[in-house]
Amino acid sequence: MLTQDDARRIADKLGMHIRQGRRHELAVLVYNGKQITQFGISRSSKQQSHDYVSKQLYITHGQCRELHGCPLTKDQYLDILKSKNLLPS
Amino acid sequence: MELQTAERGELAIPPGILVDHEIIKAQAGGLLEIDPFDKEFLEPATYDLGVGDRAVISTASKVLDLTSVGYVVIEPGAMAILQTLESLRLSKRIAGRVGPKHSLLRHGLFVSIGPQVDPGFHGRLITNLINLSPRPFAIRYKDRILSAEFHLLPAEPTRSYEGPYQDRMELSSEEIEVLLAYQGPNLADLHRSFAELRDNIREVAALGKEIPRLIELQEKVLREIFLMRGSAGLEPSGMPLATHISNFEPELYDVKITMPVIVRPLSDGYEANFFDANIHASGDTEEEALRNLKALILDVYDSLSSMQPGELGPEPSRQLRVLNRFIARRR
Repeated sequence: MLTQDDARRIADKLGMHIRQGRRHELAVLVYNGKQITQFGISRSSKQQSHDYVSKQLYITHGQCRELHGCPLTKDQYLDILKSKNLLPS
Repeated sequence: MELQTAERGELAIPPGILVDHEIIKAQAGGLLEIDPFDKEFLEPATYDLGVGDRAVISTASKVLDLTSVGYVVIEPGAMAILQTLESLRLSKRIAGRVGPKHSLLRHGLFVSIGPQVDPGFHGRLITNLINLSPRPFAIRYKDRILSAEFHLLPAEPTRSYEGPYQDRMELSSEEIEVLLAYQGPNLADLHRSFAELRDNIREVAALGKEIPRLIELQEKVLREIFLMRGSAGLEPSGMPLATHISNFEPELYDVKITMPVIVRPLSDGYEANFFDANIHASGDTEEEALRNLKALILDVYDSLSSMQPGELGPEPSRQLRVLNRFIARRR
């Protein structure tokens, strides 16, 4: 299970901007001055599932695990988004 | 009975089609034998041939004895092989022409026979009946099915009939096998299958009209279960729940179109998904997951709508378009 700590680690790794929301911190990924994607990180003190983060990053669970577990770099992640036409031209 | 060749002068019958009294005269003179002969079956220039005692039908698995069962039902598309009640014995001076009784044709039965019965033939005639009508047709023992003309020829042919049907009085085992041994679908089976298919299509079409109402009912029931489970503090069912967001109270946002949401159980909590805009949140309970999702939807909406269009990539632009379709900030 991906927890909010894992989600924060991913946000840090991707250099995402953190905005404060109502119940979440909103992690926002910006590339070349444009917002690419975002996901919410729960502010609950209890560790909750953040498995949905992979959906909002448009990658598989496996790639998401690699992202917070180090093998997948930010550049490799951006290449994945580029292959899916999710990066601005 | 040994037939003798009659001279034209002795019988005083001119060559040509025999009329009723000439048929009787030809029998008396030994030119023709119809056995059994019944004057009731005599028509002005023909003799009606009836249904014999044995029949084979494609929908039955045995040879039927019509003297005991009385009649046979030919279902739509089914085929029956019948033998005539009468055996015919034609001299070398007589040729026969056989056709179906018009009454059978009017009922939609296709009758396969002859049409020629050669001089010198002896035996019962065999005919195939196929029911091309949409209704079953019952045929009884001795029913008139064929109409036979008899022609007195001006001269004897050089040879008479000597084919494989000579002296045959019963259906051959080959003819019986053709129908009884065949295992594939016949026209009757296809007719039944199409009738069933038609009925099924009608039922599906009728059900199709009910689908919107059934979906609405299902959603209503699921919502009720969701609310009841929440208020009763019951354990989750383990099944994804389709629900929707209809308001963001007390937040000052209006829901323009009800937002479809899925709440599904995880190993240690719940995940609520608004797939249209790819926004997801989790919680310890279904209600918490839904509350978190509602809050996150507004966070994302506020975040995206605060940006200039040029500052959004392809997917955030799409998300904002979707959210604008569902949500409006109250003024």
